[in-house]
Amino acid sequence: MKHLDATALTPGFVLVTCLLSTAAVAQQASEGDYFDPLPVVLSVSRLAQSPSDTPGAVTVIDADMIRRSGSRELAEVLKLVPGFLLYRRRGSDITADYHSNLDDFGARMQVYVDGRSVYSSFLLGDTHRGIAAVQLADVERIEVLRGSNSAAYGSNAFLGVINVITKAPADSHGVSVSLAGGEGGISDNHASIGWGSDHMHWRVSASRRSSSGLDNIYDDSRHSQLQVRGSVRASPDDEVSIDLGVQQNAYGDGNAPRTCVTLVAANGTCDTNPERTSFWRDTHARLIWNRQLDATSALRLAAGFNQEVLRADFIARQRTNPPLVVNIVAPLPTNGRADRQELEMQRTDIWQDWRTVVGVDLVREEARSAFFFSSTEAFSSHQVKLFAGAEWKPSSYLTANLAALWEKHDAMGEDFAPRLALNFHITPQHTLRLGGTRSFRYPSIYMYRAQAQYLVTVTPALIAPTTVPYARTTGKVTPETLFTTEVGYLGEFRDQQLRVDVRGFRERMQDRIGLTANGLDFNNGPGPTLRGFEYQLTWSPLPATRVLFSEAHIRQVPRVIFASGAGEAPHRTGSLSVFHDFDNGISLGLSDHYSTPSTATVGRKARQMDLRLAYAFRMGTTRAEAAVVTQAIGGSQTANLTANTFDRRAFATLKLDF
Amino acid sequence: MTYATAWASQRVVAAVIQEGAAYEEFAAALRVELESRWSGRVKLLVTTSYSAAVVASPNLMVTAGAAPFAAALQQREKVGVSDTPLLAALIPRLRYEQEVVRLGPQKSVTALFLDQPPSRQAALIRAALPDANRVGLLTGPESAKSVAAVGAALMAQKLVPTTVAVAPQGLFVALREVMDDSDVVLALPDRAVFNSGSIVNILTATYRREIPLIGFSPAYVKAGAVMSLYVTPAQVGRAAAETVINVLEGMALPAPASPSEFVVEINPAVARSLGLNLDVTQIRKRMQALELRQ
Repeated sequence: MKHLDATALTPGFVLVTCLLSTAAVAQQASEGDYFDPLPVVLSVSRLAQSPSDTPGAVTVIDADMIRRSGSRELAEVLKLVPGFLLYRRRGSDITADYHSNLDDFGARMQVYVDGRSVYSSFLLGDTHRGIAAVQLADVERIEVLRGSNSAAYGSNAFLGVINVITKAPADSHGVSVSLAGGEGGISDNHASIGWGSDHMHWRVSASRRSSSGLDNIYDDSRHSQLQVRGSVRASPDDEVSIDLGVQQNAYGDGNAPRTCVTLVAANGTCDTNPERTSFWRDTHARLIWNRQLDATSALRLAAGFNQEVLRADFIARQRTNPPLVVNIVAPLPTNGRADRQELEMQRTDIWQDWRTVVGVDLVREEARSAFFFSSTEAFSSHQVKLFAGAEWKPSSYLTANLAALWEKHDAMGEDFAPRLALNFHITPQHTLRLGGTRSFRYPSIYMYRAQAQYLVTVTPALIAPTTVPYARTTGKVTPETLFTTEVGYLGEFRDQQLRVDVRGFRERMQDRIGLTANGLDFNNGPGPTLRGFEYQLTWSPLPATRVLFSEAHIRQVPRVIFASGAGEAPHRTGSLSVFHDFDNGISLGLSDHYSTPSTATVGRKARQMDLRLAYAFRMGTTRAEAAVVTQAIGGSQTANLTANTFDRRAFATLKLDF
Repeated sequence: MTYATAWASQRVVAAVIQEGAAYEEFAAALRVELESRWSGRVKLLVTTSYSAAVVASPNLMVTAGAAPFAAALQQREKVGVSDTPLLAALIPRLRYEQEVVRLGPQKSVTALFLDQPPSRQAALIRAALPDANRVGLLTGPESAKSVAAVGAALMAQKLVPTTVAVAPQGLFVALREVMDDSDVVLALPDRAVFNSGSIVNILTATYRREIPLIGFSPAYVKAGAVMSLYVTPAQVGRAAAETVINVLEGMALPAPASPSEFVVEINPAVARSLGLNLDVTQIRKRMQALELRQ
């Protein structure tokens, strides 16, 4: 069931007029406060689904937890969610994947920020840039649906869905400033200003996040964001939300030159992935209209567009040593632009025991890149999605969720994703959930349209200039599918102040998309089956203490491993966090994230411990919090490549709310 | 006892009420309770006019509403009934105190407040939301006076109050500040803060942050508050009857207080949506245990 965008609540209509005579009301306290009627604000159609009724396992991380974790960016926060694997290909380039390290960029996951998809279909499918562009200081809450949900979100909601909800403009009045600085070249700043009146609220926020990444490689990174959010209550039943923003990332790429065997001689210097600064920018605009049709129905219309630009060109060089000096050069202008336009409509209705959602979604995507498509033309794809979902609560013991989505892709044909979940509320505090769903993932435009090559020139001309193919797609690749069956348990132990969330799953992937043997095309092969269980415990042993413990145990059965080799996910990953508030405004947070070694990419980080010490205080009417965060206190961690280490780093932060 | 003497020893109670459903509900409950406990020995006159009440030469006067009480206070000296005990019902504590202060010390006046005692509010929060530690309080000019007592009662239940005044910064900044530091918001009556206009913003903002709001009337539950703690006019009526009987039997006029009966009402849809399992019977039992411990 599509989760209602909680930032777009609308009030209901005003009821009966006041009973009291106007005589003695005026400025004095009177019993009118106790007897006067009020408008219905939270009518049933505006309420979000109860956590024990959701058809899947959801982890919610609120702003308080984000702050306490000492995270600088969203991917770091996902450490707290069971089943998430985090790794850094480069210093500030973190990818978070749910249950798989099968792809480098989070392509098998859907990510929304205030209902806006940040999935980049430009190249191979990518959410890691969208995740990196989120301004953490603006985030109210993150809801992570652990498990696939194409039935509600369509293609790409393959292994999981992340919903980032930012603070509503009405909740952001005033000025907020935060700064961070320290080792590792960390220098962050964020400022937001919010204002408004009864019917209209705005928030403008801007931030910059820089660091120099890991030692030994050029992976400096600077993320800048500017965002404008507005909400207008046009009438008691109509609310319009505006979302505009620009995000950019300038990042270091490539490696230092090294000695190697060149194309023409045994001994030389290779600079085939030269150090360079690449550039990515995303611009978006989105408008959402929420209308309360009556006390039990609501309608939502949303329209948006975004444009991504990537500038990542470089020249690959090889040079042999004297006495025969030969230069081999190949320019690789890996630049491009992707545009996306989307129109969606969704209607929610509440009947007696039923709650239904129906909707339609139209998406147009366009990719253009002289290099990747060997053309100046734009290559586009169109998708139409029709979805419907129903929640049935025949008694307080059972909630049934049924959903289905049908999607038509102009190049990939039709696909269908059904979902069924049964939640048995054994008692109001303990729920058992059984569910199954089928999800799919479309290949990106690149995967079925790319035609690219580069020219290698040798001076002196020992060899004639040669064209080397980079991509020769045939369009034969088809969508992947995932069948998931799961068992879940949600328990609340009031007397022990403990909440437990357990999920056991079997995720069977089919037609897994991967590179062909020659590395120039994409095709489908057998996919792995992932089996395992994960759990999350939230415990408050003392009123001012909170303990979060989560673990995921996964076994992956590949039937055939692709030549381009995906490794196996670590068998066990987990995180343990303890947060405590002392009486005088001091708070302490300790987080430990670990994973067992795996046959996957060399040197997956085995363990990272972070420590945060903070002091909250007031300066007049200004609220402030100063903190010191140390990441990886256990010492250097190997990052992705053996030459690079993620060393212990400490930085200080200051947040001011005026 | 002959009919004549029975009639002669019958007491007269006059209730001056305002027009409206709440006041009529109060009067009806007062009548029913008096009839059931003191059948035949008391005559209850319900009127909207103070003079009509005075003419009846009551042994005790009851007012329902702030306006009737204000009028009664003003006129009782002039009319020469300042010795007749006066019970103010269906009135907020603040207004009662304002009226009494305005006219100087009064004899034989007491009240039954609509306000809930802070100890009960604190017990409710502890009983219904065991996970909550910090309680947000939005104050305005009226509630600023009572917030200290509420804060003390909260701390007695090991809850931490966060008090933010709306006035200087405006509602939205105050809301943001209070929500940043609370697990639950307890609404304290103050029309500068909680009114039919602001309630839309307050309920949507607290719901967005998944912070339960506790209201002080049934209208709040209907509007979307997770629960409300309040006293119904009928319950006040029964408490008034109890006071009337006690006083007419010769007991001293009791100090102003809140009725011991109360209602805890839940909005089940909102509670469920927030993941809260609330059962009124369980909550009331726990509240009783908590208040006994005090």
